[in-house]
This record gives sequence, structure tokens and C-alpha cells, in this order.
Amino acid sequence: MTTTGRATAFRGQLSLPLTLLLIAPLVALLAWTFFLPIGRLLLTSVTEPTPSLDNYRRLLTEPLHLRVMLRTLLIAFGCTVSALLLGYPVAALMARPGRFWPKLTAICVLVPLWTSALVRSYAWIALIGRRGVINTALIDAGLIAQPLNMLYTSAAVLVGMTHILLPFMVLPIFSALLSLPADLPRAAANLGAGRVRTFLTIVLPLSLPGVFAGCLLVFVMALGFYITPALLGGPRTLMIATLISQQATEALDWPFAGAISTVLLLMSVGLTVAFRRVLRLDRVVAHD
Amino acid sequence: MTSRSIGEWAFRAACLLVLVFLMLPTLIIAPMSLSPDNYLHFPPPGLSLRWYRAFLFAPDWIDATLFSLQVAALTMVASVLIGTAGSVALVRGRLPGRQAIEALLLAPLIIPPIIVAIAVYLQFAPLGLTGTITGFVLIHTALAVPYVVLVVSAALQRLPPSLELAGLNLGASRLTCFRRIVLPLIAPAVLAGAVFAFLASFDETVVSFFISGTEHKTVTRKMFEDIEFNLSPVIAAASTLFVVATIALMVVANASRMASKPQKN
Amino acid sequence: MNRGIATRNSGLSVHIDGVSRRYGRVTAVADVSLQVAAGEFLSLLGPSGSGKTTLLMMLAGFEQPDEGRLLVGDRDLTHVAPNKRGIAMVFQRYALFPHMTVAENIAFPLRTRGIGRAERDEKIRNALAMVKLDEYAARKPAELSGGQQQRVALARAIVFDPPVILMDEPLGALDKKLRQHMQVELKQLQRRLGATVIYVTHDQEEALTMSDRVAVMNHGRLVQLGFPRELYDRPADPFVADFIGDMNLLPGTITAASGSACTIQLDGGLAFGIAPHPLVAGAAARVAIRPEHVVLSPARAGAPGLQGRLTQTVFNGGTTVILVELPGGTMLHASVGTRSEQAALQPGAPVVASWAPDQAIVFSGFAPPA
Repeated sequence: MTTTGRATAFRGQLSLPLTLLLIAPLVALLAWTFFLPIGRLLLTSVTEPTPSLDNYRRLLTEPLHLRVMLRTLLIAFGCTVSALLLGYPVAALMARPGRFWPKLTAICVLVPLWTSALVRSYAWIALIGRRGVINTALIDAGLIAQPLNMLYTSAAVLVGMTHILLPFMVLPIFSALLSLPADLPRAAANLGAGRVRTFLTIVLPLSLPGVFAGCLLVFVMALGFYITPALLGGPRTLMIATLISQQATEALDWPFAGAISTVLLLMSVGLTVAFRRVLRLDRVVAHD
Repeated sequence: MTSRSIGEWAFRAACLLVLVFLMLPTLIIAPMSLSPDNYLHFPPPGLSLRWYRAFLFAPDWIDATLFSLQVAALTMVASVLIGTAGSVALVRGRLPGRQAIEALLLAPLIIPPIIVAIAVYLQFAPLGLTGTITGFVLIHTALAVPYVVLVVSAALQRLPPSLELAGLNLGASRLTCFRRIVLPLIAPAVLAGAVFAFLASFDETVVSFFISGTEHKTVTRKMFEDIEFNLSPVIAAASTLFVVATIALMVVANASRMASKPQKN
Repeated sequence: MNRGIATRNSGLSVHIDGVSRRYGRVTAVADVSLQVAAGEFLSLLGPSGSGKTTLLMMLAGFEQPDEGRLLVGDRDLTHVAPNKRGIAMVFQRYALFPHMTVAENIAFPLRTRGIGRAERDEKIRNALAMVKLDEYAARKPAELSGGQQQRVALARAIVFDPPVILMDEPLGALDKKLRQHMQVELKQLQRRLGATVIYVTHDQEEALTMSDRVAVMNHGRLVQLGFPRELYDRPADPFVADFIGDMNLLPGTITAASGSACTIQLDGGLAFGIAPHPLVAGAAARVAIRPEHVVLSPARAGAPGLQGRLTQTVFNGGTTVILVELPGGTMLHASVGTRSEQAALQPGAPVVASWAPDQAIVFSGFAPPA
């Protein structure tokens, strides 16, 4: 059997020179515009201003920076948990047989996904800002006299990011639930399990790979999120990405920005590599 | 009412709330863009195209939009050419280290954009590439090409290799096989990849923010600045136009991808 | 250049000369030599992984042999590109181009050969008539049934008058009735065209039915090449004996041998057989006997043959299979006419099994290379 499989895989392959010719532009582009610059940025963090680990010592000893990193982890974790709680039922609804509900759910999940994060962050400002829709409505209704302070808080960042990242939680779970054979819940019911038991003992365990992939994706994306914290957050909700940008553009301390980038990169890439088996990015891009 | 149907209705109600949460911001910008007022009331006191007019007659908005469209179009062409060639090599080629290349291809999707933005700025600035169309197209292509490769190589993998073998056997050259057999069959995926690449470039905010110049800035940079400094309903008008255009493009891409799939049921 | 061959109307001989193909440490095809006559229908038969498909792929040019040569007629094709070989192939799952109509599919090889429109249309019409699909020229493959798709694949392969047609389990995807029908049609078509056909299959019945000769492969080696009747009656080794048709293979020890005839001690008694190779008394051996050659009779004291006990009778339509358990636990199958007296024997009855000596073949040790 193995012979046949390998033989089939070899048949009709392109020759090595042709293959290299076809892949060369792709590799060259990514190497020069992507990996080389990032490599250089990370390198400056240990070579400048002097070849030492000073930048990292600074990052890990200043309470301000430690607080930013801790806050980033907390917000990313909060986003993941809330996206999971909100996303699982929606994924379950989307994976159901039938026409109306699954279609409606899919539209409500995909339309925000295709809308840029910038536009969605802007919409949140319009909703919860001092003169935003919610405050105006409450004042018009006479329920409050002074506008509520909702924007530029951690809560605003959390809500905005959860909203933007929610589709990335729903889609992997949906994909896992959809690949669940419809016969399994039926078999469980036939064997006497009620709906709750069927869910807890059959559906939930089998959808865990999707849950795991969704959580990982949301957590990793949340760690490095820039736009939403920059627009919805205030000075008290500084996150890693915003700190990097501040160090680079305001303090003009590129080596230190490089050091923070290295830490962020280690976290996101490390998590992704460690759990790459569960993370099927192609499923998220090529959602059906 | 049985307990089962109460549970079912509770479940649906909860889902409905989440769906409203998901759609709310997207749905709110359209009425806002039609508001005659400077501030955002809901429901709007009346309807007006004032902000659309303001958008269309503001040279800075139009310049930024045209620049973004130009970058996105060039990015799309470059990503499709480079990405399709790369997919063919990855799926049909004799490639040492294929898995490493596949893993590296995903990096632009995982590495936080802020890191890319700063790194690319440092690389481009000394070369005078910041604020130039070449610079934008280079980095946007690097960021968009993984989408093309994911979609096109999935389509290539679905294509039985025996079709190309049959083409060769019947006397066609490699190139003819690709042109007459492979390309027509993966065309929908290539089109979908093109749409993804176009949108990835047009929507790209963080890197564009950092490498924009005073002369050439993308519409996302313009929007970002305006949201920070001068929150006006023109942004809502622009956003609404972009959302509608995006949804239309995605519907085309998805319909085309669906058409390419073998009928399952 | 191809057209000289392509327009010839009869088959060419195929010479496979010492061909080997290895993948890393696995040998897929090991030193196979084989002559196929012009116009012959030859089957490559073997289980999956036996190397038969790899051999076919090398003939088509999709694989390169590590050693050996491949000749069609007197032309050495070993290093010729697949699209310059001019020999047709019918693929396992047809490999019809899904975006082209039936007519466009069939036109494909004619276009690559630069054949003009008038001649092309004429040839497409002929090919479609040949496979009885005249009405379907404008359909897409997805709109056809499996059997019809199979015919289109055939039409596409024969339309440019190839001297050799390779077929890779072309009927494997069809159901049994349709497969049997297509076997007959395929064979008739091949006779009419006069093309040489090399046909890969793992279905021994199909190979026996259709082929002029059959080449049996196992573990990358050619184990036996012969006429279907020859393979059935005189298998060269236990693998072929077991692979083709139903066969009892009973272990035993040779007690006496003279020339090719020998006596052998089996579980349950002494038996006779003939051997393809010289034997030595005292060697371990296996006796191959077809179920239809086993004669059963109610046990009588002193009757020559193997003593056993009937355990089960299985009704099979025209024949009935009787399962006999020999004293050591070995099971022996006998196939008898359903209306025969033997079929009336009851389970539990002690029986004696015997056969004519020249029906049983005795294999001892490893068969020396042919």
C-alpha cells in the first residue's frame, strides 16, 4: 500500500528547476519585504545602543512596562473567554441543519469579518462615545443628565476587540461541529441520552479541537492588536502594540521597540508553533 | 410549552442577542452617514446625502481613496501572479523543504501588524520607499499573497493529478496542460484569491499608517487620522461605501468559489 | 513526427527490457522483462502494491525507470517525454476534463497534433459512433453516467489511432453488471482496432476473461506470464495458484518422488500430485488442488484419500461448496454440482477426499527463478 501511495505522489511532478523558478518570486518577496526587516528590527534590540541585553533588562524591570504586558495578557484572555462564551452558541446555531437560522447566522458572522477593523472600531466610537448614539439616546430619553464615560476605558477595548475577533472564534468551532457526523447525536439519543447529556458527552468533546483552535487564534490576535486599543483605549489602557508604536514614533527608541517586539513575537509565534496542529488557518480563510 | 421548547427558545434568544451584537456596529454606520446633523443621533432626525457629498468633493478623501484603489489593484495583480505560481510549485512541484515554506507563508497572517509596520518602516525609509506606490505594493503583496496561496493551492489539491497526466498523454505540453486544463478549472479560486488580496490591501491599516507619506497616504491612514482628531460623519459615509463595496466583492468571490466546488449533495 | 505512428491502423509490439523502479529503499518494479506482440491484449494482474501500475506509468512516461529500456515497435521510448510518446492511456477514474464537452474532450488529442477542423470532426464522429455515444457530443462529463463517462474516456483514447493503448483498471468504478458488459465491448473494440492493449487490473476474473495473455505480478516481480488457461491449470508458484481462482493449498511432506510425479503425506492421509520442479523426498511442500477437482465419497475403511469430516455445505446456485475438516484442523473446500449425490451429504458425516494425481500441483520450498 505504501509503495502505491508514494508512487502516486511522485507521478507527474514538476522538475526541480521549474519548481524553483515558480516559487522563487514568492520566496524572494517574503524574504526581502517581510522576514529580513523583522529580523533586523529584532537584531537592533541586542546590538543598539550597545551590544547588550540592556533593552530587555529595562523592559523587564520597569513597572510601567510590566504592567502593560500584564494588562495585554489579561485583555487578550478576557477577549478569548468572552468570545468563547458568545461564539459557541452561535457556531452551534450555524452548524444546524435547516435553512433560515444557519444562513442568518452565517451572514451575521461573515459580514463583520469582511468589514475592516478600522471601520468597526469607528462604529464603536460612534456608539459609545460621549456624544455617541447610546449617550444621546439616554439623554434624549431623560434617563441621564450627563453622558456616561464609556469610551477610552478597558471595558471599551475589551468589547471592541471581542466584537472584532468573535468571527475567528465562531468559524473554527463551526467547522468542527459541521464535521461531526449527524448520526452520532442521533445514536446517543437512541441509546437514551437526553439533550444535555448528548451535548456534554458527545458534541462538546468532539468540538474541542475547534474550540481550542478558536481560542488560540483569538488569543494570539488579541495579543498584538493595535487599531482597536489605539482608538477605543485611553492612556490607562495601553497595550503592548501601542507601547511598541509609542517607543518607535514618539520616543524614537527603535532598539527598545525591537525588544518589546521580540517579546510579543515570541509569545504569538511561540503559541502558534506550539499548537500549530490545532490551528488550521486555511479553514478560517476558506470558510464555506 | 414543554421544557425542551423553552430551552430551545432561550437558546435562540441568546444567539439572536449575539448576532445583534455582531451586526450592530456595521448597521449603525449606514443611518449615521445619512444623518443631516454634525453629531450622531439615533434614529437620525432626517435623511441627507450631505456627508456623501462632503466625501466626494473633498480632494483629500478622494486622493486617498484613489491611491488606495491603485495600490490594491497592483497588489492584487502581483499577488495573483506570484501566489498562483507559488501554489503550483508547492502542490505539483518536487520541492525540498516544502513544509518549511508552507509554515513561513502563514507568518504574515500571524505576526502582529505593528511589528511588521515598524520593521518595514526601518527597511523602507533609508531606501526612499516610504510613501511610494512601489513600497506599498511590495509590502501589501507580501501580506496578501498567503491568502492567494491558501485558496489556490486548496483548489489545486482538489484537482486530480490524472487530469494533467491525461493531457500529457494526449500530446499536450506542460504549458498547454496548465493553460487549457488546470487554469480553467482553478479560475474561480484564482478569482477568489484576487478578491481577498485586493481587500487585504485596501483594508490594511497599521502598516499603511506607518509607511504613508504626506504626499501619498492610503484611505485607511486618512480615516485613522480623522477618527483620532476630527470625528465627522464623513467617515461614516466613506465607511458605508467601503462596506457595501466589500460585501459585493466577497459575494462575487464566494459565489465563484462555490461554483468551482464539486457538487457534494 | 508522432503522426507517422499515430495514423497507422494496427498495433505495435511493446518490449519491456529489464525495467526496475525504486522509491528510496522500496523496490516497486524489480527487473521486469516482457514482450507484448502487436495487436495483443495483455493484462498486468496483481494485488495492490505489486508494481503493475508503476510499470504502466513508466510505459506512459509519467515515471522514469531506474534501469532497463522500453520499446514500442523499434522505437526506444525510455527517455521520451510523455506527450511525445503517441501511446494512449485510459485512466482509472477516466480523467475526463470536466470543463470541456464530450466532443471537446475527444478533440483534445487531435488539436495537440494540429489536425485540421474537417478531419477532426470526422474523427470525433467516428470515435463517438465506435463507443455508441453519437447523441452525447455536446454534454459535459458530469451529465453522463459512469458507464458513459467510461466510453468517452475510451473514445478519447482511440480517436488518434494510437498503436498502443494503456488501461489502468478502467472498469474498476463500474458496478458488476455494467463491468461485465463493458468487458465484452472493450474486447470487441480492441479486435476491431487491432491496437495493442496493456491492461492493468487486480481482478483475476477480468484478466482471464479478456486477455490473450496475462502477466501476474507480485512484490514488483513478474511471477508468471502465460495464457489464461495456463495460469489456471499450471500456476508457477503458490502465489499464482492462490491468486487466480479458488484453490486449496494443503501443507504436507513429500514421501516419494520420481520425475515430476510424487506422493505426499497430508493431514488426513496420503495424496498424489505432480510438481513443476524436481522434488526431494522428505521436503516440506504444499499441494494445490482446485475445489472442483476434489472428489468426495462417504468414508469407507481402506479407501485411498484424505479422511475428514464434513462440517458445512454452502449453496452457491449451480454449484455447492462443501467444507471438510481434516484431522489436524485444516479446512478443505470441494465444489460439486448442486444436483450431485455428494451435495446431499450431511454435516457431521465422515468423508474421504481424493483427486486425480495430474490435477494436483505440488510446490516445494521456493520456486527457482523462471
